[in-house]
Amino acid sequence: MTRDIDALVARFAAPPVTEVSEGARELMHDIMSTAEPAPRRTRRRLSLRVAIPAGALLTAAVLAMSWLLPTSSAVALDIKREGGYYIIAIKDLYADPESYETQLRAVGLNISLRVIPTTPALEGSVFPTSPDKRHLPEIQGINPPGQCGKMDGCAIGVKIPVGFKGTAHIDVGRKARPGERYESTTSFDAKGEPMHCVPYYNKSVAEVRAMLRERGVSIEEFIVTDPDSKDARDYDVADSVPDSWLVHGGTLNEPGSATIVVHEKPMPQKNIDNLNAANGCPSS
Amino acid sequence: MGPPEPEQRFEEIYMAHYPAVATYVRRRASSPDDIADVISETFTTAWRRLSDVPKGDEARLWLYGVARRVLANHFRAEERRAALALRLRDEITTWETSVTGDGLAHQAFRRLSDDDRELLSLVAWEGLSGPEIAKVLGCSRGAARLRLHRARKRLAKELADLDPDLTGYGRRVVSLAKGDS
Repeated sequence: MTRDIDALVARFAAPPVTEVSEGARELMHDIMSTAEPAPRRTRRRLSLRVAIPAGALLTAAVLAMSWLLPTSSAVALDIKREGGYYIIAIKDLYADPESYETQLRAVGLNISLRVIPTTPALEGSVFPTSPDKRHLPEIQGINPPGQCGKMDGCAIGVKIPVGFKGTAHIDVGRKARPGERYESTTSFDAKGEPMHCVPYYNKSVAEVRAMLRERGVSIEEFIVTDPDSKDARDYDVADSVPDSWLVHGGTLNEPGSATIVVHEKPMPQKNIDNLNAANGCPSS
Repeated sequence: MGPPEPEQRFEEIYMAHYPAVATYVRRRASSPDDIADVISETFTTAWRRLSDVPKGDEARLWLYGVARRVLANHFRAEERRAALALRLRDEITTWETSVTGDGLAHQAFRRLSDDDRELLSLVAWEGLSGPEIAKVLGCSRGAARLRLHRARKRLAKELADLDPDLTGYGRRVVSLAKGDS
């Protein structure tokens, strides 16, 4: 009975979008890598990285050093062949990813490279993945000798076996500029982060706000999640919560800005012990 | 490496439903920037709330619902315009902008409230059933059916006001406008 009206309205429809275009795919990857992740993702990413030994971890320092070198030419990468590896230093951290790719292709590597702003613990991290998102241990960061205060290494370059024939994508972490959102982040008590080994678990929001302020960090938003809930995806996001609520964790979103995880209830001592052990901090 | 990662689930949802969501947004937002922003915001919401996205084709209805809210809020949230979707933005500028301005009939359609237009569009453009519309709008099936009926009737009346000679639009439109349906 209403088909005529519906047919009439159908005439006003713009043509359908029928494919997932290049730009749409790019958006998909942008969303997965740049959007602020849900808490579950942060945790997974953390455990993923912790589970990967030295291989995954190395690039920030490389960056820090090459960054000081004058960029005399338009070359984005410095690629040398040495001992069966391509030794790659990033000369221009802000170059267009396509210019990295062009240089890598020129030596026969089907590899894309992005230098992304990351939270401090991940500056200098090298994270190579296959197209199906598996970590590729054969591609490594080059870490300078000596101590590294970061969770994922302090790489000053990337090395790739000369015979590497696969397709890969490498994310290299760099320091973010003021106001720049981190594209990769982790818990703000990880090694290299401002709250590392600071005994803040189960402290009130008011107390933690003061601790953060001392470190130049303000609170952007709150994630409210019940410590007794079995489902890590069970959470709410809030702009404000009572100052008396207790802090369970947090993540930096950009320089000086954090999301913190809170609840009315305290987190169990067992979880606190586990976190301290994982982060290499004394038990509080 | 363990159970399906969020990335994998998101990619499946995105690849399955991007065309439908992009079509939905394209038909409702005007400028290429707006279209790109709304698509981007809709899927960013899906990513952040991945565990809320229902399985199967219900995901599409859920995404329509999100896109609808994003569209409603969009023009109040200019500052959230992200640097995402740069290439998509360029692509969209090449899309045909022509929506057939079907003369008086289109004019009548434009005169309806946003809610009425949305109900009629969900049926005629997205091909949704009553229960599906109820899901997108978050109302009961009965309410969806009633609101749809009223929207159809109001469009018929608008048409009748603009163009008393409705024969070109079919008998049913005429009977709706006269109120005997």
